[in-house]
Amino acid sequence: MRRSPEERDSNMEAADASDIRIIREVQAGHREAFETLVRRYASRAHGIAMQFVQNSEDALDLSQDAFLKSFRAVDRFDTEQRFFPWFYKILKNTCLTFLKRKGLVRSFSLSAAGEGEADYQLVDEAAVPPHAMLVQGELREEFWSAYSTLSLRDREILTLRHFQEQSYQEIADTLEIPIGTVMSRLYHARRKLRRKLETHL
Amino acid sequence: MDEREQEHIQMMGFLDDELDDSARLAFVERCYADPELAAELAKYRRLNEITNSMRLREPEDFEYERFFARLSARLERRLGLTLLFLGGTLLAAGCVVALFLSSFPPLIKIGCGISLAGTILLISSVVRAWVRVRRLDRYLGVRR
Repeated sequence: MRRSPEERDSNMEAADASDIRIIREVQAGHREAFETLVRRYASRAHGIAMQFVQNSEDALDLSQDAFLKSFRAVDRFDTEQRFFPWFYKILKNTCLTFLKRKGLVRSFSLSAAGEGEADYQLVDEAAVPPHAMLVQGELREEFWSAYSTLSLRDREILTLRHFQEQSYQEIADTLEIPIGTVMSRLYHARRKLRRKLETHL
Repeated sequence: MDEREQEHIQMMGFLDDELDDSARLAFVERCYADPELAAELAKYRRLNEITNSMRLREPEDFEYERFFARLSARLERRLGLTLLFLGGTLLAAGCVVALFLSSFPPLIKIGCGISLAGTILLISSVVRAWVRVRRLDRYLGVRR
């Protein structure tokens, strides 16, 4: 069941306020409070990391690394900001560093790239193993096979929208891009996916 | 960006229920006037339905348990190392002060000072090399 925009906004505000409360506790020295944040975001972090590395075990390791990095940096976190976009940047950077180290990604930067401009690119798309971690089914297999061939950039925006169920505003905050760019990136990603799944539409 | 592409971008907002009422109405009217756009909308709607019906496989409970156990062990180790480093630094500084305030002959003080400097140099060199090797290790991500 997908959330309505109003329900999503109110959940988002409540979650943000609760995140910030926890972070203030952690900053005040109650380090064990961080576990609550980890438990809250572990599943989302895994889902996001999966889109980058397409391997569940690596995704778990990388999300763990990202949590550790965010724990180390928590004292510098500005509690006027939202937690998730900050954590997302750390997680994405961790995943891209991992791919870069394995020689699977050519270059990347965390700065928001201009519209249509790739800020990271796979060296060899085929080098990324096929998506093996997904629920089985004929259409599903075809879907994931098509999905896996999309660029990291396209998968990223589709993941945030469809699998993380983020609103345009949340995506814009997470990726630090304007809402117009969110729409444009979604369109380009969906157009590519559509071409690959034309027979099912 | 041509007008058609602009319409498609608007279509994304329409499909995701992210347009305000006036933009939504304007888009519906354009679809009525343009059957080709309406057909495109139907295809993207179907694509959205398919995408929304997909779910990532969640890790099993035992994988999460392992995840939390490992994370908490790593956090503990980090805290332990920080305390060890702080304690070690204080201890070393205290030893140096105590040594130089003591009544040991100057030769012993100089010898201890040089040994301490050598130890610090060795430790920092090993740590630096370890960090450098880790950064440049092409096979770090390879499971052996």
